[in-house]
This record gives sequence, structure tokens and C-alpha cells, in this order.
Amino acid sequence: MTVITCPNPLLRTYNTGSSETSIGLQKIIESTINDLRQAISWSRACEPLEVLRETYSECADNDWDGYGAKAMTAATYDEAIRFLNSLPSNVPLPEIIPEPSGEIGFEWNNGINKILAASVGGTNMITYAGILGKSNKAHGTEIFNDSTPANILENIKRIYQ
Amino acid sequence: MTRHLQIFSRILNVFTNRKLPDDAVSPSERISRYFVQKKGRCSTLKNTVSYGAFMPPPNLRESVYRTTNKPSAEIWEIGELFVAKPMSEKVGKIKTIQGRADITAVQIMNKKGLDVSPDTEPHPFHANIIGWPEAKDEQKMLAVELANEASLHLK
Repeated sequence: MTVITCPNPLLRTYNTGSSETSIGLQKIIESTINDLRQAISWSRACEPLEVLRETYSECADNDWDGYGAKAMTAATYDEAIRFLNSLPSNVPLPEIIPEPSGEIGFEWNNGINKILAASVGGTNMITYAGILGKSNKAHGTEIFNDSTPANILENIKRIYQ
Repeated sequence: MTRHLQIFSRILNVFTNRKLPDDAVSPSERISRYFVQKKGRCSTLKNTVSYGAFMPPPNLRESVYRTTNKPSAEIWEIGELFVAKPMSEKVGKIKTIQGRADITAVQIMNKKGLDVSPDTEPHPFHANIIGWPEAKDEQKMLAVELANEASLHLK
């Protein structure tokens, strides 16, 4: 059986089949995806990926900020793409934050006392911290296995309540 | 004798409202953190400071300036001369100050472990935010808290 999946149309399809039919089908799906990318809502979703790409190219060398920041690695960039890719469509898109540690951060900011920050560094771990309302803070780490951890999603939800 | 002169000088400075650069930072002082790029440092749309503006560098000494009572033009000039210019030379690209995050020293000192330590290089009113924890999630928590309380000033 051939399985062609596209968990998020922003990136790529995965094809477990190798037959001509399967490859043909994958091409059709990819072509459809490219067409859909032109749609307004999808263009909006592509924006963080574009910012991410720019950020990576600007921060690929050590000391990119003049304060001794560490370079962003390809593994970090790849993980950041996968993290963005894993966000459900109903989650607001985050701002991309280059961090001096070489990690790529994401910020959801809904005003005073409603901020959540999360970052990846190519180690399958997400570091997060947030102010989730007055006198309500949370920070820690979560394992990242290509799906947004429930705890992070819950915290994002609280930011926008 | 020297000790007495130092005390006298300090008293005089209190009366003349003049701060010696190497004085301990007073809680009411305004502390400015400059940035040379808006991306990841602030949101111009929401007029907010991003936590990225306060994430500490690898040496955990975050460079800031003491800007209390300084006129606006001088504050920006300090940023251009002592932050943007050396940074431009270091990275080989022209950088200019895009904005700054202002916060009072007490707001920094109230955060777990953080302090503002005077460091008169490269400028008499330069200082560092010190006392950052090693754990990244704790660093992030503090940076988020500082950003939450800081005010954004765009050039």
C-alpha cells in the first residue's frame, strides 16, 4: 500500500511508495500544494518560514550580533522549520527571535502579562518560558518529536484567552 | 585622608545630583538596552519589546547603559558611538541603532538573582546585567519578565 502524507502543506510530502503511479500521484499533490501556496491564507503561513530563512542566513556565523552570539546550526534551522510546521493551523503565528545562544526562538505576545517564548536548538528539546496572566508564570523544557507538545499548546491558548 | 575626600565627594554629588560613573547603580536609575535590528528585538506593530532584546550573551554579562537624566539626543549618540559603531567594525557591516528598551534598575534587581553592575568600559555610564542563571529556561523566564516591563523607544 502506498501512503502519501503532507502533515503541513508548507513543506514537503512524504511518499512511502515507489511505483510510477505513486510517484505520479505525489507530483500531482505537490503541484496542487504549490498552487495553494499562492492563496492569501497560505501566504500568511509562509511568512514565518521566510523570516526564519532570513534569520538563519544572518546568524549562520559566530558573533552575528557583535556580542559574542553563537552561530545557528543547520540542525537548529531544520528543527525550527519542523516546529513551525507542527503548529496547528488555529494557533497564532509566532515572531521569530534569534537568540545569542544560537537557538531559534518563537514569541507569542498578546500584550502585558501575556507572553510565551519557546526555542529550539537542534537537540529535540524545546525550552519555554512565559507569563500567562498576572502572577502566573511557567518555564521548563519539553521533548520535541515533530509534534507541538501539549503543554506548549496549552500555554499558547492561555496567552490568547 | 583619601577616604574622607571620597566621602565628601559622594556627599557633594548627592547634593549636586551628579552621579559618579563607578557608583553603585541606584534602584531608581533608568537602564537602556540598545539594539541594532528590530527583528527579534521588538514589535513595532504592538509597540512592545521582545524577550530577545534581553536574552543574555554566552558570557552572561548583558551590556546596558545608565541613561537617567540624559537628554534624548545624548542617549542615542551613546548608542551609535559605543554600541553600533564597534559592532559595525566587528561584523564588517554598517549597523545603526534602531531602538532601545528602557527599564528601571529596580525592575531588574527585583528579578531573581539579577543585578546591574557598573562597568565603565567602553563608556563611563556603561553597566552589565549580571547574575543570570545557567539554565536556559530560567534565563528565558527572566528575559520575558524584563521585556514585559520594559518600554520601547524607536529611533
